Amino acid sequence: MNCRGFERLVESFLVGGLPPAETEAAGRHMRGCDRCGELLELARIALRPADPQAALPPPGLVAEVLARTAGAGCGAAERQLCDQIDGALAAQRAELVAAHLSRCSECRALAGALAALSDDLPRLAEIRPDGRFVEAVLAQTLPPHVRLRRWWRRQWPRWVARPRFAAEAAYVTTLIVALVVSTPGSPLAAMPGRAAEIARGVAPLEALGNPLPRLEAAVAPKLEALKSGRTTRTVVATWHGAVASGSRALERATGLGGDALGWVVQTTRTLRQWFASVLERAGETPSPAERDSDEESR
Amino acid sequence: MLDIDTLAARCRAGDDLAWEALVRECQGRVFAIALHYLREREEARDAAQEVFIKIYNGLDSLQPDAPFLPWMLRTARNCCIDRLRRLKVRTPERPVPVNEALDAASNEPTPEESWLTGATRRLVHRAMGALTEKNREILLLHHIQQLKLDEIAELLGVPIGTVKSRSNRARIELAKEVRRIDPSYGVGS
Repeated sequence: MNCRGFERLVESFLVGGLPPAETEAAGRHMRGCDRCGELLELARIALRPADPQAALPPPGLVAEVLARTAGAGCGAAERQLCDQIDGALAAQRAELVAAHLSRCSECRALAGALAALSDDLPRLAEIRPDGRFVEAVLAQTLPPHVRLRRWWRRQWPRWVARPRFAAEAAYVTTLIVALVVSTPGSPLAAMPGRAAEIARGVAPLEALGNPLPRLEAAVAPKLEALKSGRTTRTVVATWHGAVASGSRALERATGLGGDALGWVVQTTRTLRQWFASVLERAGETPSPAERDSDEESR
Repeated sequence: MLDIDTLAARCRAGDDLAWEALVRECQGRVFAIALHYLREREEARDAAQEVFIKIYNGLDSLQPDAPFLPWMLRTARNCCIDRLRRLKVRTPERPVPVNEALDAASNEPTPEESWLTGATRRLVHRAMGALTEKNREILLLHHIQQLKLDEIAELLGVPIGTVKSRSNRARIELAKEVRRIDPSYGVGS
C-alpha cells in the first residue's frame, strides 16, 4: 500500500471497517511512514466524539473567512433577489439565495421591500387628475358645434336653477319683443296695433296673419353670407333646435285649437319649418331627429 | 364598459362619445405617466392634456389591428420627454423637489404629494423621485404600466437583456431608497 491508498482508507481504518487483509496492509504502511502515522493521529482527533461547547465554531468565523476569500454573499444575493421574488430562479439557486436570506437580516429586509414593491408599484399606474381634466381635454379636441352643445347642456340647468332666472327671462323677452316691434322698419312693427284692435274686438284674430313671410324677406339678403359663415350657421342651427323643441312641447301640451294659443302653436311650427328651410338653403342639414319631426309635422 | 381598443376604433370612426369615454378611462394612466416624468402636478396636468390632443390628432395613424394601450403609452412617454427637454432648456436644472422633502427626513406629504392618496403610494412616489431618470422610466414602463419587456426594448431601442438587467437594478435601488425613508417598509412581507 502506498501513501495515497492509505489516505483513502484512513477513516475506515480508524473505525475498524476494513477487511483483515487491508487492515494488515494499512498497519504495515503506517508503521513505516511517519507522514501517514501523523495523518492517522490527526484523523483520530478529528473523529473523536467532541465536547458540544467546544464543537461550536467561534462567532464571526464565517464572516472573517468570507472577507478574506470571496467576500460577503450579499452582492451576489442582491443581484438575484428580483428573480427570487419573481420566482424566476432555478430551484438550487433559489435554495442558496433563501439560505443567505435566512442568515442576513439586511438582505432579508431588502427582499421584504422588493416583495412589497411588487404589490405597490402597479397601484401607481393610475393617478386621477382633478375633476375638470376631462372637460379641459374635450374642450380642446371636440369640434366646435359639439362643444357648444355640451356647454349648453351643462349650462342651461344651472341658469334655470337660479332664483332670479324668471325675472331675467321676463326682462330679456320684453327687451326682444320691444326691439322687434318698435324698431323702425321692423317687419313686425304693425303687430302691436293689430293686437290692440283684436283685443278691442275691432278686428278678427286672423288679422294678425302670418309674420313669417315678412321676416323671411328681411333676412333673405343675409342668406348668401350664411353659406360661408360656419358660426352663423351654427347659431341658426341652435335657434332651429330651440324653436323646434319649444314648438313640439307646445303641441304636446295644448293640441291644435282655434284660439290664440292655437295661433301661437301654428306660428312656432311655421317658424320651425322656416328655420329648417334656411338651414337647407345654407347647405346645412338639420339633425335627423329634427328633420323627422319636421316631416311628421308637415 | 367597452374595452379601450373598441373605444379607440369607435374614436377613429368619429364617435365623440367614445372619445369622451376613452379620455375618462385613460386619464389616470396618462396623468400618472406625466407625473412620473415631470414630477410636478401642474406640469403633469398640462402634459397630459397635450398627450390627449396628440392622441386625438393621431388616431388615424394607429393601425386598425394594433393595440391601443402601448401606442398611447409611447405617445405619452415621447410627449413627456419633449416637454421635459423644453423645461430643461427654459429653466436651469435644480434638484428634484422630492429630494428636498427627503432631506427634511419626514414622512409628511409635501404639497406636491398631498393629493396622492395613501401613505404607501406617497412613500413609493417620493422614493422614485430620488432615482435616476433611466431607472425611473424603466420602473414606470415595466412595473407600473406593466408593459412587456419586448415592448419596452422596442420603445427604448435597447436589447431585451439590457431592459431586464436595468429593470432589476432599478427595483433594487428603489427598494433601498424606500427603506432609507421608512425602514419599516416591507417588514413582514
